[in-house]
Amino acid sequence: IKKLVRLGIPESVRGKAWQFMAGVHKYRKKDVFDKLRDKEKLPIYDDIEKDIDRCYPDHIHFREKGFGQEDLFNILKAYAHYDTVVGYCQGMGRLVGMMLMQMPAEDTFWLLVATIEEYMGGYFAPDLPQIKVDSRIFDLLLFEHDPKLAQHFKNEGVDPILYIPKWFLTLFTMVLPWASVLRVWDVFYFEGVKLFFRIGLAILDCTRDYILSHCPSTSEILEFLGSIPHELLTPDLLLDAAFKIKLKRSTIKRMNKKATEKNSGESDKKLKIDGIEFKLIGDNVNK
Amino acid sequence: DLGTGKTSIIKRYVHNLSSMNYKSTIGVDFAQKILQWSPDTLVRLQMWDIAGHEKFGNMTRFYYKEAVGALIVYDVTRSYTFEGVSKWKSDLDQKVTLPEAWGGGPIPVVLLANKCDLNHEGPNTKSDAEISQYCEENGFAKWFKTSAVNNKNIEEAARFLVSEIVKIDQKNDRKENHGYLTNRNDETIKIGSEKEKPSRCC
Repeated sequence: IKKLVRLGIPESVRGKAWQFMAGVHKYRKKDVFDKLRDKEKLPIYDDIEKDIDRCYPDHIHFREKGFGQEDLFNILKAYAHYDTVVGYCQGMGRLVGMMLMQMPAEDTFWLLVATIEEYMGGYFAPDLPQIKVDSRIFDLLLFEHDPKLAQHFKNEGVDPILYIPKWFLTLFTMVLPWASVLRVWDVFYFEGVKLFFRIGLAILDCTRDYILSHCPSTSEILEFLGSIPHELLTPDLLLDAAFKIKLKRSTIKRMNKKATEKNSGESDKKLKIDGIEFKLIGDNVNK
Repeated sequence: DLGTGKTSIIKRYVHNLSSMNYKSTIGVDFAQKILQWSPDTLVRLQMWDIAGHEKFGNMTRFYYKEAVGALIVYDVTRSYTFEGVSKWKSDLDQKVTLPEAWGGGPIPVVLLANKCDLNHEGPNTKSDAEISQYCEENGFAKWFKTSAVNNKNIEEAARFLVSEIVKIDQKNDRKENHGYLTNRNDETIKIGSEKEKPSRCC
């Protein structure tokens, strides 16, 4: 299966395959989506509404009055009720839009639930604890993987906290060309968040020569990372680079521990409400 | 706060572009503008466009690093975004100060009342006098009514903020015989914004 997902899932079954790998069946309950969607307005709805137009402004379905906007809004509203701790966080709209391009609204809602529960627990929680930990881990990994580039970034004050949130929280939908995004998602649902680091390092592998020769200082580096030319990150170039990188789950786990200790006081464990019951979820970052 | 028009202001200022199609800012975006400030001073204005969503609130200390000026933006059509202004101002005051070479102290902050092209008048709309008084009491250097759509006062507000920063730099230049900014004949000013994060220097 690992080989197959790495080759890319066929378009016709992609949505189903993501749902299957994410374990959507463990979460899906009949009629829950409709009920949550129709519940009373929460204050966070105002924030969601401000972002609806701004999730996929380039995509015809998600432009003003496009039929995707209503689905997008409904799913994010329902999720805010489903998990009142996470509520809504910018970036989630990018995930939902991507899912809606592959499957209907109710399926999308449950895939969002499974994606956050199974893979991205601490990512959208208040104060974004996991993103800060991941930025530290990424820094450590980059120093091992490409000391020259890591040192250049460090000298110029380009900390991963300045670019990792956008890459990880949107599951790479704001940095990669579309064909690469789909391939990354195919592998993500099989391999989990370990892939975030692999792809992050691969993006820098594909661009390091350009950065080292054309981006001497902070401004140039940050502007470049903000809009990397897509021709440098085609599926062939990116995935080839990504799968060459040797990255052990245990290494990330070790670094995660180290980074989390530094981040002490910001626990990933939290009490959450899914509309029906309270439950305590643990740190499932390394799934 | 979120959706007040920070990105639109920066795109207008840096690229003279106006579009309704900007994406929400996740984390922080960057832009740079180079200004020939005077015959012998070049200013490299580095602008950090900070996400307005409160979830990113505790990341601001990373984004404010070395900033020497800031624009805080609120949306005149949603008067509750004005409540966010004090929150952002005190966040800035807590987390960033002018460099030691300049004697520290708060960075200059300019308030932008954005989307004034929409001519919105509501029961909670602040009068000009109220905003001026608020700015005076809360340590804002100045405020402007802006519109990224009509390109109103964007250039003026940025120019004013840069002039404030350059003024502080020159004052210290005279005192110490070298400027924090001008020692390289080239000033990089990083501006931040919650709203637009303006400017830092190095």
